[in-house]
Amino acid sequence: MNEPTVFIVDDDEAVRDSIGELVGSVGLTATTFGSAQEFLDAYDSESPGCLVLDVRMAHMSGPALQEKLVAMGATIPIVFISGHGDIPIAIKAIKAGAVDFVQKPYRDQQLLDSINEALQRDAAARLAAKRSDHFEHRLTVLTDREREVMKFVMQGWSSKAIANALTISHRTVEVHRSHILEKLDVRSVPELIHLAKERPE
Amino acid sequence: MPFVSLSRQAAIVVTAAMLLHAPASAQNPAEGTNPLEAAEPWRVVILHNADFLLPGSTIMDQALREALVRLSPRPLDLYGETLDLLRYPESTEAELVALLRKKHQGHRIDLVLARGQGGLDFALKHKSELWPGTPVVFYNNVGDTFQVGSKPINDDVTGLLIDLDPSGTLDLVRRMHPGVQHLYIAGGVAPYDLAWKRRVEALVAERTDLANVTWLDHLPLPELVEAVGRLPADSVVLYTSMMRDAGGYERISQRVAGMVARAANVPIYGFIDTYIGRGVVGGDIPDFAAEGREAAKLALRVLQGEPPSSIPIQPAPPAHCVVDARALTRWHIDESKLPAGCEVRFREPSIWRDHQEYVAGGIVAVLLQSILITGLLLQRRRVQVARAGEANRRTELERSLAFERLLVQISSTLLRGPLIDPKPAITQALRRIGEFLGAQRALLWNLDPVGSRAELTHSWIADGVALPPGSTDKQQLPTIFQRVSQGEVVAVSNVNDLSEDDRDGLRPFATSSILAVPLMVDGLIVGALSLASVREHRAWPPELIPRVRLIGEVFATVLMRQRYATKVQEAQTETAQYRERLAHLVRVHTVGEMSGAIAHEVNQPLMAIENYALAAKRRIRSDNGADVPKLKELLDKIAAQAARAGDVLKRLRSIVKKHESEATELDLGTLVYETVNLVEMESRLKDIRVEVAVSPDLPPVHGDDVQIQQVVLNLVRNGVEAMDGSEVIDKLLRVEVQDSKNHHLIVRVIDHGKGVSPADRAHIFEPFYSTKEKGLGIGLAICRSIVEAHGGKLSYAVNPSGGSMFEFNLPIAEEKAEQ
Repeated sequence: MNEPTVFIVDDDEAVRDSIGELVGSVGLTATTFGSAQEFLDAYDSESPGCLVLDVRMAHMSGPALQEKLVAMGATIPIVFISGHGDIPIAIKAIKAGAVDFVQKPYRDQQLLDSINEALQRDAAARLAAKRSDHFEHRLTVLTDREREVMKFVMQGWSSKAIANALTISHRTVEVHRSHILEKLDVRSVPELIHLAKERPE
Repeated sequence: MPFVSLSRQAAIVVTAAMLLHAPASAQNPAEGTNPLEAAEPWRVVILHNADFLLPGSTIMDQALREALVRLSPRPLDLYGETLDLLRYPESTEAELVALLRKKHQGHRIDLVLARGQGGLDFALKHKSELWPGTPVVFYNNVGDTFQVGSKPINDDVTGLLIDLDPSGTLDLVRRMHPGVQHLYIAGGVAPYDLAWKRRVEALVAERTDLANVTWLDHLPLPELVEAVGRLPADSVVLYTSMMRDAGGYERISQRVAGMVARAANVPIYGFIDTYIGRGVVGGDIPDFAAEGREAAKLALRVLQGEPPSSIPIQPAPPAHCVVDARALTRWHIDESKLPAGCEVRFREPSIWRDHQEYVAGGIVAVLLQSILITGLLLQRRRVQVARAGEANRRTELERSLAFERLLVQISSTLLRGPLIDPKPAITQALRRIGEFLGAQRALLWNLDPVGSRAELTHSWIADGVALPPGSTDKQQLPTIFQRVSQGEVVAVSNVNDLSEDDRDGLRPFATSSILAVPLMVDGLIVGALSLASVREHRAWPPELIPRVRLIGEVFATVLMRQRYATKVQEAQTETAQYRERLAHLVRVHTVGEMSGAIAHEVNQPLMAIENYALAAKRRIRSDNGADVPKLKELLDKIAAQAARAGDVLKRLRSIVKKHESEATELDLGTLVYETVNLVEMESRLKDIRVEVAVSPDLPPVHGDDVQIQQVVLNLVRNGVEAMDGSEVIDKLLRVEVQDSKNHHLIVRVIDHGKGVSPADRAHIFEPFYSTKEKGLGIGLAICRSIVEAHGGKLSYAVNPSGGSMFEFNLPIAEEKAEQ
């Protein structure tokens, strides 16, 4: 589950198999699919990894699959492979979030580098998502008073100002602050602000 | 050398036969004489001004001799002497006189028969020395010296004058060409020619019904030939005679007739028998045979004691209408307008003219004709022999019979023979003729249209005889070429009788005797048949020569058939070559159009190879040590992909390569699968499914694989293109291969595309008609041409469920082989 997988979608059997072998040679796990639909049928957003996708395929092209994944909210990083140097398609794909657009014939390391980058991006995204989930969960354990104090903290108020506003002691505010940081598992106020801002409304 | 010398013994038999038949003329002064006296033959010298063997001479002299023998109450000894004045005027006169004196010394000569003005002049000049007191009867004389009905100057002389009345011929011209505006008269300037001119001039002056008359006798022959080719359309040429042209050259009149007739752009008429058959339409022709018989009767009257002085000079029998059927056809002259009783010669159908596609009927017609002619000739022979009853005639008859049997066999074999390669049959025929006539070489020559060069086409040579040259020309054998290309037979038993040039030309081949016969088809000389004996002289039996001519026509027909059949075959081959060249261009163009897809098709395996290779490299460098089974697996995969790339290129090459189109047995199903494979990439990218359905166990077809593949490729790509961008959800192209149950396999390419508009349907198979923006408009045209060349059909139909259906069929291989 934690092992990332390189998903390869290409309608040419030899091409997808050879990419699989290349990926395998650097110790990564690869799974191949003959068509976009096959991949969609098997796709599990929980499995980490990246997608290596041929641009030109019958029935559903690479960019068409990308569109579909975006619509689904799937965030799997995509490395496109194209033999045709189709610049407009490349720009569109990158804007839609593709990691790279590798043109055939590619240089030795290029595809692997792109795949690595994609995997890293996936891992980071998954970590971020994990942290964000954590924060959300912690929020629920805050007391009402602590939540009230956090609002002021996030707006940049000083402890003194908060104490005055809430007509409580300066010391009490300081205790709330430390409880908030502790409960939300953040080390500093800036980090708190960052995480809170990322929250969906 | 006497031409025919009857033995005494034979003459007695003849006499006995005559008595039994008791003809009126036999009851004459000879009656009552005792048998011994009757057995005493009359000796008759026939003085011939020309060559006995000239065609005109032969007819007349044969009739003369026949009548003499038949009607004479006494045996006859005939001494033929030729003066050959037409060829050797006067030059040999002294020697001839000396020779005759030696030959006839001590013999009583009862009568001198003098042919032509030349014969008569010679007889009168040398009579007192050679044959004192002997009466002279002349015939075949145009009347330079005497007039019909007049009394001759010399008491010992009487004879027949040819009726030189060309008015009958002029009547014929008027009758056959009522609208004629111009009459051109061609002739020469020799005394004989001028005699004709005087006659014709007088006649023309008398007549008011004739068109504008123009004389062309002031023109030398070459200019004449040129002039008659440019005459106004409503003209007719009357050819009199030309023994010498205005340029001062001696000419042979009948040859000139042929040359003028060939060159003329309007019909030409003439009144000499020998002109007929050389292209002259016809005329009122003196009857040579009848004249010969009349001369014989006159001779017998004198032999039986009637004094010549009491017999006035008589007219020759009247002329009669004779025409050449082929010339009538050439000038589109209505045969129904001919006067009653007009003799139509050469009516035989020419295979070549009437049955260019060698309809069996035509061959049968000629066969029947030759058998019929043979039959008639045999019958005539038999009658002659029954009358003559003579031993050597019998031998001659047997020889003729044997020869004619041979000719009929050869004719039927040749005419039934194969069209393209009749060579073995022809060689066999040459051998049989050669052996029969005692020749050591029998050769067939192809003559070029101007008659100046001959190429050897077929040959038979006896063992140990030198090979003939592959070709020869007019410079080498001027006389033979000259005569043969004029349609004459050259029969020479001693080549020393030929001109020096001809002798030199023949010397390397040790030819002693030669017989050369023109091969004529439809009046055209297309070649020659030559027979030769080597190192020994061979007399060519004159009575066989007409038969050799006949076989010459059969050979000519066969050669022309072969030429035609070969031409047709060549044309077909050439068409096939052009088709393949065009097909190749279209294939190259197609491959150009497919280049994007092809590049992809080649790049895929190359990319796979690269990936596998990189993977292998990494595994070798791996810290865990090389995983050998994995490396082996990768290398196998690399090899498989290299082969795949190679296959794509091979298939490409097979399309683009230039090849000689050749037919082999093809499995149509496999061919269709392979072809669809080529289009697969293109169709895949266009989201078009190509479905192939081949019925199981189909028989092979016969054809050129590259070309058939091209047809399938073209149709499938058209189908793909028709569906590209169409709104149809399931873009399916179906290719079916089935047995038609009609000795054909059918290939159907069915698409669901836009279809062909009704306006375009009629034109899609036309070259350079394209419904596509960038189309060449050649694809379907070349496809149809290819399919049709394979004996099939390519057609278009509307697909009932939307789109188009192209269908072509090809004959099943065994069927074709059986045909």
